Amino acid sequence: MGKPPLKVQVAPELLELVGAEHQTWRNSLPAEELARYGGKYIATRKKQIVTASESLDDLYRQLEAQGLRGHCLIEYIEEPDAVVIY
Amino acid sequence: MKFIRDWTEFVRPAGGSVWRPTIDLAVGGVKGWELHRFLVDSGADLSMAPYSLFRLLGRSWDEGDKLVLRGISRRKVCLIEGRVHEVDILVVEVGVQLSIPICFARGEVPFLVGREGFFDHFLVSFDQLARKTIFEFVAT
Repeated sequence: MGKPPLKVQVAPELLELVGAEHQTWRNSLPAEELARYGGKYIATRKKQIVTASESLDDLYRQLEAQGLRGHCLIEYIEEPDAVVIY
Repeated sequence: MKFIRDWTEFVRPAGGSVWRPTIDLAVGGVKGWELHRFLVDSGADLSMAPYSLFRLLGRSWDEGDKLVLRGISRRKVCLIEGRVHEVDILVVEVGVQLSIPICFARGEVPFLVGREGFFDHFLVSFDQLARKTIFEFVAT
């Protein structure tokens, strides 16, 4: 087992990203819109899709260029033609 | 400390969608925290993430314990090399920083949070009908 858990101060921007407002917006994105991003990583913040890329490295580069590294929620949208069983 | 997360909708190839339990975890890299969405997989021993996330950590690949990953197929061509590294993660909702083992794989693998490290400190309950997951931090 690793180091014991630590209680830490969290940046307000991170709290906003996991907060109800952003999460509700994210979960309300229609399936048709999500399908447009199939096979890509998307970065979201302030209830917007900021950028998307097929490569996580490229997504980080784009966020870096926009001064948004560490200020977005990043997730992968599965390709619509892929059957994923976890 | 307890919090509840709604599940995430995933689009299905033939139309429609499926809802799965997820959690957003901040991963500690050389440039600070990066927030990523992980599937919560109580059936997985270990957490998993792609190599591109590993590169954030600024570590040497070879320092990790080597692991061979196998998916549904038993064919050898489908085997992927992975390395297990201890990684700092932040559970943002409750401000708890943990160190958990994550198996990084060369190739595109999903972001999964498995039992080891994470479930040692959180009681996790799935509510399939309500499509919600309840996480309760347990100080051990």
